[in-house]
Amino acid sequence: MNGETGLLVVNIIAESKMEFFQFILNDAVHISLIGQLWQKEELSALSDAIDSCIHQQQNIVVLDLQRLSFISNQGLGLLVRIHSTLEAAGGNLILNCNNSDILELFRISGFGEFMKIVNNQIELQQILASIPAKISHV
Amino acid sequence: MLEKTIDTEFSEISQRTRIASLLFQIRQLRLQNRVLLKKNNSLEKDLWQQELQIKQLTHYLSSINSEFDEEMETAKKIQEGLMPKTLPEMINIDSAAVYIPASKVGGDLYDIMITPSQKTAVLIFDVSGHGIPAALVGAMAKMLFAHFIEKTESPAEVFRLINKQICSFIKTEQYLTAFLGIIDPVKNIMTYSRAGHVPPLVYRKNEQKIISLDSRGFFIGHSALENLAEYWEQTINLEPGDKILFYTDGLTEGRNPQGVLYGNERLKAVYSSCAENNLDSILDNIVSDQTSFRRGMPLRDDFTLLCIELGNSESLLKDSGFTPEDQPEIRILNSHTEIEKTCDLILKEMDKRGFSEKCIKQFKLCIYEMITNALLHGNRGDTSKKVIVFYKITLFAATISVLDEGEGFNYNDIPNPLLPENRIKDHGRGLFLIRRYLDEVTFNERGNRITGRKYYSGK
Repeated sequence: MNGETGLLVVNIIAESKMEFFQFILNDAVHISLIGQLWQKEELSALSDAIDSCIHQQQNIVVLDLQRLSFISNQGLGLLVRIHSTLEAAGGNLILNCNNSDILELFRISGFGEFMKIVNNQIELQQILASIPAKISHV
Repeated sequence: MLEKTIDTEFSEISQRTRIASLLFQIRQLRLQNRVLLKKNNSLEKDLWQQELQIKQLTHYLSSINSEFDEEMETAKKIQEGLMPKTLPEMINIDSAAVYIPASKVGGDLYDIMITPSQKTAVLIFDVSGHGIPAALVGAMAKMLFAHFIEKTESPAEVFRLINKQICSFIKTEQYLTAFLGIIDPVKNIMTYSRAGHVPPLVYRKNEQKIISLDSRGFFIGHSALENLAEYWEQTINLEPGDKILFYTDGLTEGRNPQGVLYGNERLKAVYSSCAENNLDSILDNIVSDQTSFRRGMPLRDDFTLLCIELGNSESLLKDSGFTPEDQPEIRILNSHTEIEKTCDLILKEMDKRGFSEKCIKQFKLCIYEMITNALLHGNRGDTSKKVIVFYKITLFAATISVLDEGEGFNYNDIPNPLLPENRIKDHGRGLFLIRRYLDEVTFNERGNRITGRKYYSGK
């Protein structure tokens, strides 16, 4: 994939139990969530970050959940909304997660039926390679 | 002829001499007049200067006076600012309070706080003296009370800690009297301590009599008593409908024109006569009685009245999914910001009881979802409505009930989030997960209470 590599952005959310790192690699925005995705502050911050990606036509987003320790039902709802928004924009959401509790939650919630979920870097690279370059670059 | 001539000459000499004498006197008088005029001018000048000085001093004094007035106004604002604007939502307890100011700024303060374990702390205190020193000591004491009530639920220990702190900061003769009661709203027990304050009056509904909450205890903050002060605490069992009247001595020390004190006996009599009324009416009756007793005599000291009434803890638990024997912990919430604290309390209990990390995470998701649903969907975000969380964590199970004040809804009418048409809907997944993660999930008939239980399944 022929892409651009961007700066690392660190988002520390005030009075929150989560922070996230964001960088662009090979046309995909990678957002790494650390901590707990459950309350209004974290949800709004992540939602804003995704809106900003879509605004900049960066609509392939990898959410790295390897260091996410907890996600609430509201967090799951946000993932569904991000998935729908990106899909509507012709993009993709990939969830990269190896936390067994969260994977179980995804499974129970039926996320595997309609979301791209990987649990290691090899799978992630394979799935990214299978995605065509984004429309703005074609 | 010669004699006549001599006489005439003498006469002329005499007249000349008199004239000369008169002229001399006139000159002398003129000189004196000049001196007097000079003196007069000087005196006028002095007088003018003194008038100027008096004007300057008057101006200076009036500016000092207005500064003092401003300072008194500031002290009043400090004190009034420390009075609670609204009393907190309490479990099973109603309250009403009134503060009657006097011309001087006093040192009365009261507050009701909810302790970390959801007990109700009722505090009233009175700082000695008036004005800015009293207001400042009051402000400091109020902050210290709020701090230490968070740390310990022993009223005597709170007094000990505060006494130590105030004595180390204030080296004046300022001191305060206080009463602190900590009420367990489920067991209806009050643990209290009295630091030289006037004893509150309990109206026993069943016996229809008034008892005084006497107990021993020193003033707080008097530097001379720093190492001597000791505080004791007692407990009292309360019944539903019992009322407790807390007050400051400005009430009973009000005097009529004959100098007679209002006194405790008259207060008890009027309280007893209206104790079956609602709380606001009780306070109105007492204030009116004291005002008519004084017959226009001004108040020498401000006073505060705070009255609480105990509710029926059994009726509180009636729709909770718990029995009184279960003795569940109770928390009241009315906004989203309080969820995390509640979750933390419950999850810490589970951790203490040895529940596994995975189980705790699953329970966390469920309780967060239950409370969020109750606030957002049950009460429709109306913060005037409350959500009551009942929970009990034992070695065998973690049980939680969440009750809202909404109209309730049909829990069987929730969409299945696994169906493709429901995937992007927010509605339904939360309850679906709760049913998956908990071992038992039940609802009340009205649909405004959910109860969930997770059994211990090993570490």
